[in-house]
Amino acid sequence: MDDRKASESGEWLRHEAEEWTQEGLIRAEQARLILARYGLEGLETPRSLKRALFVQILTVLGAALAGVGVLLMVGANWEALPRVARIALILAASGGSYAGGWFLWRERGDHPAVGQALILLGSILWGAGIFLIGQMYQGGGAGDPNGERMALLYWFIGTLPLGILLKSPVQTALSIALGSIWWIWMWADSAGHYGYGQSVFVTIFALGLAVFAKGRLISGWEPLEALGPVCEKFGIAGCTLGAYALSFDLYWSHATGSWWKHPLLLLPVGAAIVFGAWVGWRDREDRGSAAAAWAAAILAALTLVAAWAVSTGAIDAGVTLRVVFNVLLLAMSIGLIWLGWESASPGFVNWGVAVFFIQLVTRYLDLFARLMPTGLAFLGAGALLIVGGLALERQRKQLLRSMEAKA
Amino acid sequence: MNAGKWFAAIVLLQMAFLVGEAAMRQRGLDTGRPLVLRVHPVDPRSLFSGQYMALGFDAEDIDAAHLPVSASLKAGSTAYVSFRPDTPYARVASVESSPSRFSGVVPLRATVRWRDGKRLRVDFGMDRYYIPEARQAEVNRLWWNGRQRDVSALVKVDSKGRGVIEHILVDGKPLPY
Repeated sequence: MDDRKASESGEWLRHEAEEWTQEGLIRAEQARLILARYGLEGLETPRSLKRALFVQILTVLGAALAGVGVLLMVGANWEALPRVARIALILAASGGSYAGGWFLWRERGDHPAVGQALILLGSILWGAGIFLIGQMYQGGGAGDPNGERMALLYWFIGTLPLGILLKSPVQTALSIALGSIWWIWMWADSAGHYGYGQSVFVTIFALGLAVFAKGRLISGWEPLEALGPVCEKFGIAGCTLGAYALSFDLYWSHATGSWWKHPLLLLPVGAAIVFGAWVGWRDREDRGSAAAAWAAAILAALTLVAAWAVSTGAIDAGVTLRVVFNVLLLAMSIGLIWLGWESASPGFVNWGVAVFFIQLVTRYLDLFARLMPTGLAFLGAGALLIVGGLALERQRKQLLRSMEAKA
Repeated sequence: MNAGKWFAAIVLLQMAFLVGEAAMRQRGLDTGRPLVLRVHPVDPRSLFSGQYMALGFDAEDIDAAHLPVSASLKAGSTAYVSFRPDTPYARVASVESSPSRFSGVVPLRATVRWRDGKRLRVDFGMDRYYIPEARQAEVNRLWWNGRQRDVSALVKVDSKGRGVIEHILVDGKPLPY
């Protein structure tokens, strides 16, 4: 093949890989690996790309560890240093980490993984600084207007623009985690006033739907496209956690009160309905995306109806909603497996299988632990885990193989 | 503005926020009016901020039947508890919905937790005093002997009524940390 032909086929492959990615046949990193296989990713080879991914995971873990270390140091309350020195130290550490990260990632560009990790570390150090200042001036309690809850909000607001500006999934993951903790904390405090802790899980479920729908929404918008999958993963984690907790009867007992119209619940429900309907309409040609978006919108609406019905005592929450959320959890695991298959995303398949399996074991323990001696129940659960695990693993592999064949 | 400039601007804003937060609290300590309030300490731990004494102030529990308390105050509203400095502890003079203009009293901002006919429960938002990890045993002893010891907090109150704890006093002497 002469140079001209090689160049033309290279261009063809590039174009095809881009289209395959857009159509959801392969993921972006798989496209890069294919292009690297034919020497179309600069000097990268499939091996070097895989190593780069490993380095990125390692450095992000390193940044997280260093950040936790700083938080623990803050926790140790270093009395030996004067206040000004402590502030100067945290400013220098955070600012230095940001500057180093930017230099390695964007200025020199030769260590993007380490650079991203350093910027993440800078954000963690900045957050630690907020808590350090609270600690130095004896603040932080629940009654303090600038207490820990507010510190989390400041941390979230301060780091969110960086995630958007840099289009960095890890930075965005940090912001979403902080925002979610703050939201749930706010709700937990309100729920405490009502005395109905179970509403916390309804809010987690609704928040998960809203974040998932938002992820779907920005996935189709070029400037923020890279951040969509992070939101989707967080959203799904929130939904499944909320639905799993609500599949137990204990959270639905005495579930009355006016909490269904609290803004902290109405806002995520409204966002999930609007974003879900919007994406459902926008992606009507894409069966998988449209179905997932409409599902988020409809579930959000049903969540509000369920919360209203429980609040007003219109239905017997203890039995009815436990059954509803068990069915819902099952539907979610099947839906996730289907979505994973449709969009060539093994992550969704794995998550769906895991949710199904956990639900199966939980309900087994719920039901049979009451009917048989404890030892026997655990023996049965162990056998169920092994046999079920084998069967599900086989099913999962079959699914993944068929996804590969489909691609 | 390119991405580099936006990045620098966000980072600078973050740093300015930290400096501003510290400066605001330091100003309260430097210029605030002092009050000594009786406290009862316990020692929990925060995931984010480390070991601290959780403090309850005797003055947070107010006898509304025998003190002038604004009728508009209800759960969740901001209250200003006016203290008259005294020995050994400052005394509550009145509770209002806005800072008292009378000289000789120090209005301390609080949040109303609940109210019934005779009692008013407020929160000064100063329920923590951080302690070094190595001093935990000492604080535990303080808690166990708390009822026999005279434990109080020296609080500085700024012009807007915000309080900051400067020291914890045990039998009138400040803790060395």
